[in-house]
Amino acid sequence: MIAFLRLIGMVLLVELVFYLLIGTYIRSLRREELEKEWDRRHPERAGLSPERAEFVRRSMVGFSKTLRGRLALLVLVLPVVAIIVIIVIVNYY
Amino acid sequence: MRWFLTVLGVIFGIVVFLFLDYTLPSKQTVRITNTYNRLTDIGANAFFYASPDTGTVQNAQGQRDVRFIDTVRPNGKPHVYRNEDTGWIWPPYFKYDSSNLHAQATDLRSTAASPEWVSVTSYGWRIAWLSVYPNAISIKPVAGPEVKPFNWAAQIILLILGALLFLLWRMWNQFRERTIDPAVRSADEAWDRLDARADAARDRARGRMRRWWDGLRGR
Repeated sequence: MIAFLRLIGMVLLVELVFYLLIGTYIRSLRREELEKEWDRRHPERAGLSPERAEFVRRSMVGFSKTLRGRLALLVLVLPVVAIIVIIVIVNYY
Repeated sequence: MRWFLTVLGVIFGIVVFLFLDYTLPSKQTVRITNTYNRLTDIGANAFFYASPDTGTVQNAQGQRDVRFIDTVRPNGKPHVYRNEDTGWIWPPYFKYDSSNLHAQATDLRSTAASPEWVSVTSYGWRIAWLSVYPNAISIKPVAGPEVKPFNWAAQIILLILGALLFLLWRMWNQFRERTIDPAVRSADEAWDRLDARADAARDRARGRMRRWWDGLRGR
């Protein structure tokens, strides 16, 4: 039983680390996209500027509610599914 | 320095290969000749057996009652498997049906006169001088000794590992492009400004010294 709890703890720990990493990565990709969008819309004001930072900040509001923002949640689900599939194949198939 | 890094890289590659070779499942077509359990001394080779807390009973002398499956390969050479639960952590096979597997293996025993071929999925190595045996995971009857089922499980795991590596590489690139590079650039600029100010101060000081020196010499 202790071993099973240890498994749950370790899987949870690894999942959380990857969740944070992938969440940061997805947000970083979106921010870069928005910066390019701003540069395309305002070619004369391209590059680093307070206006662009403000545009990116406002566009990122509510990103975690979008489908792509929730993509990182898969990291919490897929490993558990994989473990269950392995258990079924190895022991009951 | 370069040759040292090369040697280090080659050693790392070999370690990764051996690790995958040991942990990934492999399939072999064999004929089961006997199944039994035997009190086995677990000593220096404990690394190649299940961890003690997986339900295997170990007595005071460090011996365990381990199930074994004797098999013969199509080329006539023997191959012995152990049949142990893996426990919950490592390697992640989550196998706890050793008794069922043993019953199945016993059922599939056959003689050389009327052979019955099976495909055994297992992980691990057979190292005779260390008494190390691969752990059998599952057994499936096959039509004959030449039938070798494709090892899907190992290929899928390798693909997933490759995809994970690719994702980590992309994440690192993004991090470098958007966090490290700008930080380095701004640090460089700050350094340049500092440098320019130091240069200017030095020039001023030198000018003053020069004037003082020249004045001293009466020019």
